[in-house]
Amino acid sequence: MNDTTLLDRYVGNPIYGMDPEHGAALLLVLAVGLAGLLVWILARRGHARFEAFAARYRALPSNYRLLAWLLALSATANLGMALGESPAVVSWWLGAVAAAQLVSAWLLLHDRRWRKTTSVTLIAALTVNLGLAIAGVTVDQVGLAIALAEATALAVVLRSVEGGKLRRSFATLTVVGAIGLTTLAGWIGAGVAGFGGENLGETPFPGVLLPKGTDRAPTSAEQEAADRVYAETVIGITKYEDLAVAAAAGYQVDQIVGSQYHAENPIFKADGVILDPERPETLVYEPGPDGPILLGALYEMESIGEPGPAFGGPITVWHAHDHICFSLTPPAIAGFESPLGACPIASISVPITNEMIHVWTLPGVEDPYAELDENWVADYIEGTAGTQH
Amino acid sequence: MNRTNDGPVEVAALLLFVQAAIAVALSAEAVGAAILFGGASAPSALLTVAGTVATFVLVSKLHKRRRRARRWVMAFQIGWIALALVDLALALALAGRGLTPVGFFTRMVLPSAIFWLLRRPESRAEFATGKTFDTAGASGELETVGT
Repeated sequence: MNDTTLLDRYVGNPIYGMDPEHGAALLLVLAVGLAGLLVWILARRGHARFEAFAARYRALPSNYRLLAWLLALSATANLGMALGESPAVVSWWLGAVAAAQLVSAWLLLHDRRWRKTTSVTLIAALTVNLGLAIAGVTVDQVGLAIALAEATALAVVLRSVEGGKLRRSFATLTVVGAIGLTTLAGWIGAGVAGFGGENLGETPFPGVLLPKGTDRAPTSAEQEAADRVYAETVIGITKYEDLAVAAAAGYQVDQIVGSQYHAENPIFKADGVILDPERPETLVYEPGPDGPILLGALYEMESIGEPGPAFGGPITVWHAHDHICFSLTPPAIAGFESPLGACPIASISVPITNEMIHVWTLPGVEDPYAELDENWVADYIEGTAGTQH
Repeated sequence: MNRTNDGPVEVAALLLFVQAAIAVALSAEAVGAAILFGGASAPSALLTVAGTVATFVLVSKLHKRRRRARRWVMAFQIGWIALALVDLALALALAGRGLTPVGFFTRMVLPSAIFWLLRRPESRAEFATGKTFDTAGASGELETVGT
């Protein structure tokens, strides 16, 4: 089948996408909207039952009308999630949450004692989300959207009561905590889904895109090619251990800070040459007690969507990045886009980058093309590292 | 049931509060990233923390029906939407996709709703009369716990 868009060629972390199994949730949410419209039309046409329902709804203060919608939408979306979720215990839990939310909405519309039921339901749902993420249940945009709706509903419930500063502070902290939990659940879910994902066919960490494909054993020719490029890179970049040499060649090494600092070379990035071991597009350094230590090189393609040459087959899987926050004050990586869809202020979200591949040249690295273990690097810098595991 | 939770300004204040709570999460992430990626991203993290504090202050001022707060909140929302549009344009141009669905809600729908609610004539009128959430609470118009 032909790829329709650039992103169809890649596999990303589910945190920024939608699990196809959650499609039922979206359909049910749409159905709630249509049902609301139908009730409105029938009430206007004078159907007594619907008129009474609409009158109850209109009698609510506007914040509570919003709450009714949020509960109805969360309930149906949770129901839709329950239909596509496994294991069964998760389905049952989501079904129970949906039922409790519908009961809360009914109590609200009938002006019964709805506040406690609603608070408990929402707090339980938001807290268990974190547990589900830790347990490995996929956290995607549908799940996050539901959690955000639930947190907003909780804000309506808790902030609409009379009380002193203490009660208001409690309400504020609870809602901030609920949204914090949602974000944490997102990151944990993303980490669990993408843990160790760097080979073809695996799910990568947030912010990383891997080409689609399946892993296989390398051929001997691919292994030889991978070994050759590694050996040539070791020889080619050794001179850049001296920062003065690197700076003279055009690498931006004047301020090496943070872990795995990537020093780019704007000239080599635009020279039209790929995989030149003397002129890699970027060098990677780690700050050490006696000055920065050269960890390796990063080869990079010149344009977005251009696949890197897989010279070593499954050993040398090129990757791209997505949802990276790039600060403009000054220009620097400012993290990954939040599961809530935003970057820090004064930064933009980079939607996709060129393909690239690291070659780690630090002596003792077990696999020069795999993810570098930061703990191993720390041990190496302290002089205690053995072979990387 | 009484109606202090009523009116477009109260809904706008609630949504602004949710936006502030989201900004707390973003601040935590930004500070974490600044520690992880080094000092260059620190100004961005500091701006995010400052923006979060400002949003909470604006929530309070909006409850008190401060006219300036309404204008500041509206300007703030325009800024949010403008930044979201820049990201949307980049995403469309470079990757052929839009914002994430949650991002669309938090960065486009939420700010647009707050802006629209505060722009309504009823909202403008409320700020002109200076009715406050606090005085409403004192007069017993707020919901009592346990309803």
